[in-house]
Amino acid sequence: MSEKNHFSGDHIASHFEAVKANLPGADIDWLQSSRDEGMTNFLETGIPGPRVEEWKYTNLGLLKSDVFKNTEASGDIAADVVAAALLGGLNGPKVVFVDGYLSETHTNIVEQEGVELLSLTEFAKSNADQTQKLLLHAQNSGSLSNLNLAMMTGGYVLRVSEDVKLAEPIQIVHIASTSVASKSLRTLNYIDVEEGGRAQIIESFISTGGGSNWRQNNTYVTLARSAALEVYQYQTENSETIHMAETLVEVAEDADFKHFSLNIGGKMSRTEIKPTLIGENGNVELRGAFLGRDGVSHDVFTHMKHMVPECESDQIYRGVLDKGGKSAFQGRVYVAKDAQLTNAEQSNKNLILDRSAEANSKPELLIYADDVKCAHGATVGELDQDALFYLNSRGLDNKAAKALLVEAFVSEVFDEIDIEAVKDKYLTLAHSWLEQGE
Amino acid sequence: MMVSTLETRQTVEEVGSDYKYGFVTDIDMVKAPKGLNEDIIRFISAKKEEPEWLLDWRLKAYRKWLTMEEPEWALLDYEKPDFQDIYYYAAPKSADDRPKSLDEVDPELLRTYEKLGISLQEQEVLAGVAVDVVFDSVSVATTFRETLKEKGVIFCSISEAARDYPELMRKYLGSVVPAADNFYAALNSAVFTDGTFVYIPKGVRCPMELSTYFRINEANTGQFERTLIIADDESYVSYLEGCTAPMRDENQLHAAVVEIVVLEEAEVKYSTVQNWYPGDKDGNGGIYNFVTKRAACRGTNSKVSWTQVETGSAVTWKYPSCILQGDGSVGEFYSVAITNNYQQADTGTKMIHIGKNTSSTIISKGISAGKAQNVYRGLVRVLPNAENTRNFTQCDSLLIGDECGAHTVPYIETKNPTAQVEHEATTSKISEEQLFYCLQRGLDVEESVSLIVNGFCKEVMQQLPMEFAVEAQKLLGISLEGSVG
Repeated sequence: MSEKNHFSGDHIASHFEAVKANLPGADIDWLQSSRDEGMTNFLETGIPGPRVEEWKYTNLGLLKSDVFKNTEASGDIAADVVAAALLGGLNGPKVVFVDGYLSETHTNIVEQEGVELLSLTEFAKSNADQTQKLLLHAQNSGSLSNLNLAMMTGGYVLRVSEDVKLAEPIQIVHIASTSVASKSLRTLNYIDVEEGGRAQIIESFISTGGGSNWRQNNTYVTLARSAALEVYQYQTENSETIHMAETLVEVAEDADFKHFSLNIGGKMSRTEIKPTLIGENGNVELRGAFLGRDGVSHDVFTHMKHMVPECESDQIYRGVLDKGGKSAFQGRVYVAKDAQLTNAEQSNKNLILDRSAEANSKPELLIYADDVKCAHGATVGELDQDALFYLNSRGLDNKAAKALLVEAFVSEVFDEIDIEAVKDKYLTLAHSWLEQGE
Repeated sequence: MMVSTLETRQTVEEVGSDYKYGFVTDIDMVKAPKGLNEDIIRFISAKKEEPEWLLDWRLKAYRKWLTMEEPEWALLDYEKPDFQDIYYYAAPKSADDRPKSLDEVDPELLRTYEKLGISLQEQEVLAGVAVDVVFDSVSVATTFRETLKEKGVIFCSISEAARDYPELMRKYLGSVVPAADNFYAALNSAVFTDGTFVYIPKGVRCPMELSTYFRINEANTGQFERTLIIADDESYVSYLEGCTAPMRDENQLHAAVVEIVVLEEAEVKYSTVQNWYPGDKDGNGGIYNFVTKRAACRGTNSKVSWTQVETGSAVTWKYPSCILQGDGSVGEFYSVAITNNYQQADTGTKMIHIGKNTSSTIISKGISAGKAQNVYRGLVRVLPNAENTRNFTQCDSLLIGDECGAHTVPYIETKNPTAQVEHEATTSKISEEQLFYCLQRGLDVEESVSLIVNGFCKEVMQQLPMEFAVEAQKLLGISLEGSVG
């Protein structure tokens, strides 16, 4: 490892000391001590080494600690940049983060009774106890979650009251601007949906220019009884960015959690989703696709925990790896001893389009209950030559035929999406990624 | 629950306390002192009259081992062995004066084999199987050597091979499993006391199935076997390995290494029935089984097939692997792993596809009962030049009772677009309908479960050679006794 890339704890701790007074919420004492604690926890284990099983496919050697020099908020960005990043036809609340900081100018909260949507620091001021409890999630997670807690530059809190249904999906846009190269962009969010509440969130991560940024976006979700939450994430960060997104979810009785993700950009992306089913009849659906070429690597790490009986979970992930693309899917299904009558499924299929591409898959089942139905499947292969020939013989040239087949392969994951604007966005992004290929 | 429950429980309790092969033979042993250091290794090497290069090889492995740490990634929970509290060398007293034929063998030993039901005389006549019996660490009898000699097949103990076939040994020993491959392999390389050496010359189809029975006898004796099989061009051999061990209260360590070299167009079939003492029904005692098995398909169209039935041991850590280097080479892994009571098994395979047109098949059946934990852990890796690779993996787990666990941890790593890799896994319990059907036809619960489990494992059992299949089928039944009710 070169000197420049060397990631030392001392280095990062000194950056932290230098910037912490300027990070949001510096005036809240207990928040500062939570940050300190996060840093201490992080320094204890540091960056996970290559021999740590959960990180074995992730090249953390790409991480650079000098991003922490740049944690200050940058100037605002033009309105048309924001407009372009938002999905049209949706009239719900819009939350905009620029370089990890909540942008007051571009954020537009549409008031609705029973719905609270505000910045994390604002929330912290009036809800100290609750915020501290929430931050414990981060403290109890891995070293990188603790790092995110220590260095976070912003975040949002969404609370949906009992039996309230959000009128429109909320759009959350994270924009990395061109103004400063190599930034640390760290957001920490909290979503709490009370009994019978319903919400949809569309969250995108976009770069408008260069800069080898390191983004972390960690979201902690609690879903009460019969609550429902759908999260749609996609990221098209620049090709130098390290993108990490983690979602921790607690799913109570009869609650419903759906998570969709599309990873295209970044130098390296890692999407972690960790739902824990703690009430009977809970239901979790995870869907995702990752498209990689030209040195881009995508990791998806899911950890589905069935703690109680009679829950269902289903995971479908599709990967397409073109020239120089790399991926790793690590999916774990854990069924606790008492979680009888669990129904858990998991599928990961990968297409390799070029010989310089690489796909890794590790679907894992850990089962401690006997009366369960658990299955997983994983495949890695190239395009079906017969299907390709069929299309060729109908007059489609090789490129068009390939694109059609790959699109069909990917779009299957997004078939069930009800919000047309989101579905279109996903398909358009996948389509243009394919167009960029040779 | 069911009418037969009480009766079943009683039967089970009777059987549970009585490990069929649990007895101890009293024979004076020649032992090196407990513990491990360079002197012990020199002692072993001297006892074996080994050439100097082998001693150096052992010492190198030992020094490397000292720097290694015991792996912890497996889903196993056991008390780590104290490596200084183990005897690394134990040989029957008459080692310096080896018997030339069965008549010269210590009668006490022969009686042991009879109790095990593997009487040599009987086997010589009935099965036509050449048996290289390993009693603790030294081979005491080798049969049928003459017949094999005519064909040019070498079938002897590894110590003999080190003396008599130094070129082959030097060329191939450690070429598949390097001395410092992993913690247990390094330990084995340093202290292995005996094992089997097989060489099948070019174009020879071995006229009989070769078989070794392993026994662990003396308390606190680590068993460090080393097996090396070389199948030269266009040859074929089927090798059988089976084991039983007497009842012991302390955990006994076993760290074997098996290396197989398969050259052009050759085929090796390696079958194992592992029935070491699994510990009693409360989880006391039992063998620790840390095994490194690996085959290298070095030539065009070479083929290796692993079949294993794992019913014994308290802890099993074992991943028979195939390195598919030659173009068109084939690797197969068929496994049945049964864990009951407090047994733990973390087992699977590795298929490393290097050559073009290589293919591999993995069929794994894991059965978990009582409070046991059963893990399939497997890797399929396709390297960039492995064009048109094909892999199919199927892992099925069966859970009997609600206190056991079944886990599947497959790794798929592909770096070639023409590869086709598939993995499927299911986990379920014995279907009530199947059980009811059997009961209705007059079978008791134990018989029914045994029947259903045998059906569940059929694909693997069919791969076993005839005489093994029969034993293995019985073992499935015995291993699961006490798991239902």
